[in-house]
Amino acid sequence: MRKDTYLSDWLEGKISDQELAQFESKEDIILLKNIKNISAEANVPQITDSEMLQEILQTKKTKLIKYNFNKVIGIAASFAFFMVAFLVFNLTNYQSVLNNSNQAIAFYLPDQSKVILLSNAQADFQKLLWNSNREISLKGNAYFEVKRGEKFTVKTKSGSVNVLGTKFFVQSDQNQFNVTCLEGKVQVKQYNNQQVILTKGAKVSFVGNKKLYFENNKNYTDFSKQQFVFNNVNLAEVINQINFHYNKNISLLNKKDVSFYGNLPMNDFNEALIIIQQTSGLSVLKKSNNQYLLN
Amino acid sequence: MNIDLPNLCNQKIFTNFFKENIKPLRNFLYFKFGDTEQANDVAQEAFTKLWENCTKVSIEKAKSYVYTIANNTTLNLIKHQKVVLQYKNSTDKQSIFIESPEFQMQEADFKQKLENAINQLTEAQRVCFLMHRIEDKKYAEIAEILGISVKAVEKRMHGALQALKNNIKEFK
Repeated sequence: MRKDTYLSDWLEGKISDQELAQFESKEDIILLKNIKNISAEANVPQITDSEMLQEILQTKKTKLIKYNFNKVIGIAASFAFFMVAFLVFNLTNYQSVLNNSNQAIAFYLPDQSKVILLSNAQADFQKLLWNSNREISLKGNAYFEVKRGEKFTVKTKSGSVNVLGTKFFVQSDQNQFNVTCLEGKVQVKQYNNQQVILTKGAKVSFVGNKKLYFENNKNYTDFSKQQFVFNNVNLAEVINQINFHYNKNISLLNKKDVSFYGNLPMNDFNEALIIIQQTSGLSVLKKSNNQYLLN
Repeated sequence: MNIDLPNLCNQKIFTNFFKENIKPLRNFLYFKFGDTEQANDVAQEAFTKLWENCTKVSIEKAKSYVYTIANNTTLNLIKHQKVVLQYKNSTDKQSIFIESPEFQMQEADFKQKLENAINQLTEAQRVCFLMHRIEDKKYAEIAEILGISVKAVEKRMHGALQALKNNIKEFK
């Protein structure tokens, strides 16, 4: 039997009165029994619990109004936050590239497709989920080199270009909408429902709603190789283009009908001049810094 | 999360819980302080907190929650006042008071002496003792409520009985 708890053992009934006698005298056992019994009959002061319950349940009702108010504030606040987040998101997601210099600028789209924006051109697109939605809006002229993937669409004022291939050139000014396909296949849709598929070397031009279609493109600009490509183009036309591009003045004295086949560099005027001389057989005379004579 | 699970925010469920536990909790507090008002207030506060936080407390944890709140609330409160015991009208019941020639004490007398003796117990002993005798709680239950071991409860009970015995003997 446990010395320090035998009384609690007895109280619980773990040990009998007889066993208790080992520790306690007879009188004490009687006393203990009285303590045990009488204490069990005792009561504590009454409690009006139903009143208490009502008071408890009431507290929430007054607090509920406050809570609802807070909730409304919370909702308004989260809405405001959401709006701000949405705007910030749009600001960082929406990309607009504007080229108002007089040089072409190149940039890459999220999928590494390349865009060369000519002067006074603007391209807009969305960064997020670019790969599943490759759509770019274009004002002005730009050259595209598109990486393999799902659809790639260029939207202009007059029509759109769906890329089925890789390299193409889009011109969207005033009333003109031209697309040149340099590699692969390109589907061009003019907004009054005219549609055309271009293959390599083909070019389509819309003036207003009229389609002017050139097959076997004779004259186009290959941006990837930085050269002008001429296939049986009148030399006069070639020179016009070179003059315009380099801002020079080459005059063709002999207005013969000379055809030009060849590629002229976009970034080397002297080289271009040499190639013109060689292929045409004409000689060049430099009159001043910007003036040349071909004969 | 199943919205249909019964929880304490349901007024019916809360009311049942309240009815089951208000007296034991409040009595426990009364045993501690001997002050009815304070015991009532603290008990009410504990249940109010439970009602306010009904979404955060599960039914299983509710009992321990109210006792914890009550205990925390009482930490700053005043010292013990006298516990006053009343007795049921035992006309229909046979009194089990044993008269002893040695004591020559009437039952009423004994009751008074017992009450005094109880008020002289330490708070620890008093609370344990009364929870066991009046509230009919087992040692294990008392241990859980007070957050002590069963052995500790047994020691307190033993101490209480001893003290009560000695006290009453002394004043015979």
